[in-house]
Amino acid sequence: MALASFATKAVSGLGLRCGLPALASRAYATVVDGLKYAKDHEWVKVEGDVATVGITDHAQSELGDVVYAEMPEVGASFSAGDRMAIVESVKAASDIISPVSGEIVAANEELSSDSSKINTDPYGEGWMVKVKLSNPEELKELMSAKEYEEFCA
Amino acid sequence: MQPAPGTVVRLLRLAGFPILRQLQLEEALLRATQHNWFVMNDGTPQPAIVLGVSGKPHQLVHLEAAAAHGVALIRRFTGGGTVVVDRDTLFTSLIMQHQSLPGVEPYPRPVMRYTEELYGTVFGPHGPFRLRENDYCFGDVKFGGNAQAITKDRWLHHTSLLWDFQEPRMALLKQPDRQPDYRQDRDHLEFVVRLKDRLPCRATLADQLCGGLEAAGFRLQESSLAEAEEALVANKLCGTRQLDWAQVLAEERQRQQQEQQQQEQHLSAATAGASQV
Repeated sequence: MALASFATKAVSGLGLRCGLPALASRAYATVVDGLKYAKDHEWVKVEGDVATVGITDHAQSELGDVVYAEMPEVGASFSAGDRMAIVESVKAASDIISPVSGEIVAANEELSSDSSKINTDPYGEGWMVKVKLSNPEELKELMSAKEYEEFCA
Repeated sequence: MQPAPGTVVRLLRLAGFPILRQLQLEEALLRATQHNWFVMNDGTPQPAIVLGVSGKPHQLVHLEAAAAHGVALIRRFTGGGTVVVDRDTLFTSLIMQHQSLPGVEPYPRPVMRYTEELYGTVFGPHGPFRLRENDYCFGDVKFGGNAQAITKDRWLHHTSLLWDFQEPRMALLKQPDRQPDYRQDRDHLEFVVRLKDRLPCRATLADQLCGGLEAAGFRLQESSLAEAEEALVANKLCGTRQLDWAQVLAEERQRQQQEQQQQEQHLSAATAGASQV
């Protein structure tokens, strides 16, 4: 259900790399061009020295319906690879790993009242945090959309 | 899904180990070691109510009654629901490195499919065992709760198995808003079953659980508590803690006052609106 809803929104022009019709099978995860991707299935959108981070469509699909999301406090600092946030789905608390190092400058407070946005709009309203990058060189370690697609295949 | 031959699972057998310490230890083993573990604990000496990572005490527990009963209130680091545990609860925890079971993706549903198969070899001979909407059941009655934590390429799946339980303590739990369909609004006493009514012997269950792991292809290696507790020193993240009853009750009174004030404000606004008409 979440994937179908997301696919419908995505048709409105997010630059999707997906050859399937709107009601896509759950066997395929959607990937957005122009973002960077981590092996732990987070996406990163860089604007200047600030990166917006969330989890990918593949990750939200595998996690199942997210019923709780706990974001870090603004001002907290993380290194790439640190646990940054927690989401709960299907009785599991899953760590969200920070793909970059830096300081949290914004956290999506909407997720505390509506964590389903992570499922229904993982690349949009389901964004999790914004990070002021302390080591932009780390971005070179992340995958392109095409590389991430191949990684998930 | 079999592990590679010779894949080791470190076995930690405990009995009467306090559940708070057990949970803290499990989290440390998950986060601060690279080994596979199977932890078993036969009972916790003092009763406790254990909430999942997101559980709200006022929604899940009859707070005044539980505090009066002297039952500890603990928040654990895994997801899932609320359980009442005591000397007659048997605990198991399987902690696994993804590379040891590459066919089991480190996500909630693949992990539970695997553990259903694993525990099926132990409980299946004693009744219509199945994982039903993520609960361990015989038919439509639950005998074990489970919950999970997943970090990078490691996962933990732990269970609380109800060998027996005290009905007054079970009654300290409220009906949760989120409940499985098969529960059909039954209260706890109609929805859960005692393992002692289905299995012949408590003492042999631990051996049967170990046998299940060996049959699944693992090599068990006995470990001591001292060895396991080394992980506590190395672990920096701990999501398990005992909640302070005084603070919980004070927060609940404040929440109720705020709720009442909001209701009075709405009523005033409605009355003012009606009088203007």
